[in-house]
Amino acid sequence: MRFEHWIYSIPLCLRSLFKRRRVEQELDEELRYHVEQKTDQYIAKGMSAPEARRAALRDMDGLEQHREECRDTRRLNFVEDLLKDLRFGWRQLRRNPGFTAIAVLTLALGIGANTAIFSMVNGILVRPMPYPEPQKLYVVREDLHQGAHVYPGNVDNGGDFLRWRHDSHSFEGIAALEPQSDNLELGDRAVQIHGTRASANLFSILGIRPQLGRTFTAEEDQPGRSREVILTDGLWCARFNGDRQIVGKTIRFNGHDFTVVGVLPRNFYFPRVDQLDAMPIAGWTYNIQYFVPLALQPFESKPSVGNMMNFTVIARLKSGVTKQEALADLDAVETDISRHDPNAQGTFLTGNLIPLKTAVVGDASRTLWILMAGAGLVMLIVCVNLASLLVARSLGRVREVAVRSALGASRWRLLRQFLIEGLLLVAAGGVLGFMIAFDGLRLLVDNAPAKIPRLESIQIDGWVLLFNTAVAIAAGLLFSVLPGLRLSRTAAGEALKSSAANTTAARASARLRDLLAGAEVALCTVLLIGALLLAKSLSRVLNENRWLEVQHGVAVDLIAPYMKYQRRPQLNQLYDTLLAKVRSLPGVRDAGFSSALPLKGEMWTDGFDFDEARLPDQQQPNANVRFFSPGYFEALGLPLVQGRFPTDGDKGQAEVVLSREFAREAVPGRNPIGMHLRWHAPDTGKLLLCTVTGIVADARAEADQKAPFMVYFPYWVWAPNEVSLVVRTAADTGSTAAEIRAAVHELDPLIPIPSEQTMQDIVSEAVAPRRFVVTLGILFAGFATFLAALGLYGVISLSVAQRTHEIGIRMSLGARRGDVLRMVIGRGLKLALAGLAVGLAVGLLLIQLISSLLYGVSPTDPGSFAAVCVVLGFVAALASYIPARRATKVDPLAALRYE
Amino acid sequence: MSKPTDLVQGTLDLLILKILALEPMNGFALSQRMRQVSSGVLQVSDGSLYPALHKLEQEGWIKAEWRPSENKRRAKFYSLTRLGRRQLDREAADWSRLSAAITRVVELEEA
Repeated sequence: MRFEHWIYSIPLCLRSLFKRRRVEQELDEELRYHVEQKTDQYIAKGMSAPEARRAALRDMDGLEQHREECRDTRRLNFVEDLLKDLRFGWRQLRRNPGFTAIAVLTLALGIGANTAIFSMVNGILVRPMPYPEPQKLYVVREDLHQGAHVYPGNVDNGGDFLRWRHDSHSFEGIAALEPQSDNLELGDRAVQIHGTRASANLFSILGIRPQLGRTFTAEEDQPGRSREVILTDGLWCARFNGDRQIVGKTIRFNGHDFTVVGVLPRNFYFPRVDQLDAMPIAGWTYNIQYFVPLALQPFESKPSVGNMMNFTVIARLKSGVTKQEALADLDAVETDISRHDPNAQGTFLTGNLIPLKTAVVGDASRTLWILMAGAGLVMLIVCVNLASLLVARSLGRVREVAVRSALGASRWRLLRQFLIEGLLLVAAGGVLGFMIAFDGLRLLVDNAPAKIPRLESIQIDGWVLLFNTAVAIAAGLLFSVLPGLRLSRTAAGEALKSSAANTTAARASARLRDLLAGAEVALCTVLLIGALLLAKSLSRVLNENRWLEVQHGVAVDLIAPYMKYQRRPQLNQLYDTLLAKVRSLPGVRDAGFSSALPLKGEMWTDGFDFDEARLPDQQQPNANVRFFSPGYFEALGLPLVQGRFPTDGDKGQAEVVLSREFAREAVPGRNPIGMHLRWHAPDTGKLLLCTVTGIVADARAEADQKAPFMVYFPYWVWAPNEVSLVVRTAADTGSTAAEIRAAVHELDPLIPIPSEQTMQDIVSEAVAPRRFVVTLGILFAGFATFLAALGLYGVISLSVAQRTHEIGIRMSLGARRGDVLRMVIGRGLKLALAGLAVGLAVGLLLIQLISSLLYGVSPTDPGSFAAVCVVLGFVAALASYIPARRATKVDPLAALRYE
Repeated sequence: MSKPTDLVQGTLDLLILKILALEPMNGFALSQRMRQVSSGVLQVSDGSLYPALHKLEQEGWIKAEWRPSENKRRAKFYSLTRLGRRQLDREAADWSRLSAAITRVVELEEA
């Protein structure tokens, strides 16, 4: 019934809206027809023509009134009024181009900033992972209960994974993976590619089908197999020219042949290596390019408590199973594992289920929400500023409003006028803001640190558009209702009687404007405190890593192909020759290499103890294992604390260097020099007793985390295939890097060089997320300060304009320019101080929210708070100085004549 | 909306719908017919007819089209829609119930 009603009424309404003139004419014609017919009737009855017409009109009983009624029923009046209000609003805005420009620009910047940040929040935090039923996907981790302090990492043991798969009943599937890098051989050269070993069922768990070929079979996932490979679309296109016949062909990496069985679809998404690992491995921002079967080796398949934890496990919950039930299921298996592990000694692991999206997003969510809050605060200031501008402007319109209400305009009608003007402004601001957001978002994504996950899923979608519109409309309502309400309440009689400046309405609006200006300063204070504390944290973090030789340092990564350099003598010889070659390059002061550089995250941790101080497995402090060459610490700039570094002359000696904090933790109160560190070589499993020759200063793995414990073995003890060569040079870093590359390829053209960086780049990369937040924070705070200054300036200017008369009297009574200046600036400062006081109090509370992002700075850092006071005090003084100077130029005579 | 005081509230709609149900006609003819069929008892001012017509059109109960009238001039003719037919039935039934009830009360024998 309702629906049928609309079939008739909607076209009529639309017609009234868009064919207004036509509808009007028809109404006229209809009524005229009636009157003329009636007139003819009266004439036929014998009346004269004018008499008949008068009688006909009398019968109509108020033609005009009924015409209005007809128009009302057709909603014609509503449309008409709306158009009138729109036109009037448009004229008002055009008449004040300065106000309009400021309003639209500040709105656009505010809305643009909010839309851009929201696009990031939406893309990274809100959008579901691109898999079917993504909410059922979890990363499974293992927590070592008694050893959380020495064993922070908790990727999983391969044997434990097999037990879960066998004994738990809560999952549709469980898959394990272990990322790896390989040298893909392409004729006469090799490139490094990144991929992962993966259980055969990984793709069915994710719900992904290949675009070509198939996924792995269960047989291909058996121990000792792993001769098949699945390519991602990216690798397929980049290295194999999108060859559609690739399935069944053989490709070589690391000297082994792999048969391509499938190619994944173009839109296939897989988290990066660093996003799946439990430990932060900063440098590993690689996308996975290929998959090979996991095919766990027998030595990897033994369940154990706290050993060989190398695998990332992804699981899909069965429908109807809750996370708690699944966890209980996992823990039952864990308890059984620790009961049967002779090395467990009463320790046990507990399962931990982390939603896949949470695991991937990591702590980026905190950063993003803080940015969103910052943008929100900026928007609030924009609105307050506009409200204050509108109140000021409405003062000039007291008479207009009074006249209109005296002529019978309803309060709603007056309010609507303000709303429409506000909506006109936000419409312009919203569209412009959207364009700003579009460009700004590209800028944000291009400059976002690589650490921030899911950047590729950021896009302007319907939700972003909706958000943009909602923010604009909310802002429009917020800033136009207040002045509208204030003004429409104005008593018409009073306003008409006296001049604008003296009415109670004017006084009330002055109070309101003071309040708004104060609020702006308060909001701005909060933003400034936040930005300043974050900036200070960044400088503290940079300071902590200042020891790095950033001016003259170059780092070159290289990978000795595993097949060619399988044995230690070959590797040792390669490294010996290489070092000699690099050291002889012009300008090179020091050169050395290590298996991993500082600030590149943690990797390869092991529990250690000493022959002189044996500890049970679970109590051994965990340290990062590094392999280095002589010259490495010198090239890096990392100082020796005690003892000596092994040199080329010590080749073949089982020696080791410890980091200072590790030595302190492992053998408290004893001199570790000369003690023997126990270590099992990874390939042979042979126990080595390495003599501690030196203690080296601590180097951080994460720019803002405490340095992890480190154990450095010289490369002749055990040589890795992947190393980073570090060189301190007096020559230009760029040309040195090029010469090193040439030297490496002269030795062996099949050695890939995945990256060359200056040490400066490495530091920048490590603090990039922090720098990103600080940059945006400062932009927000700067904009906020500008708006607060604008607000103060507006309030003071207006009060000077309104007090011209009074100032004239004061000056004619002998007040000097200095007195007037002091009076006006004093008023501005008083306002700013009130705002500042409120802002500081609110800031103290709100800063707690970002305290986790702060580094080396207390959330109540007095220096920062003082700096904010000084900055805002200065800004307030400047904002009120300009109108104050204008006040001193008042000519007393002219001012007294005024009015 | 000013309604003729001598007309029971809401009955104007019923009258218009009923007369238009008989045949489509324009506003002037409608006012003539109304006076005619009620033998001048129902006084509806010509003016108040039009807002009522426009309201009924807006409700979707009647629809309008421009046609030449008997004296060859263009006039706006109203006719009932399906929706209007249903509304007429409902209002007519309501009216019969109401008037019957009132009649019963009025004709009560005084003791």
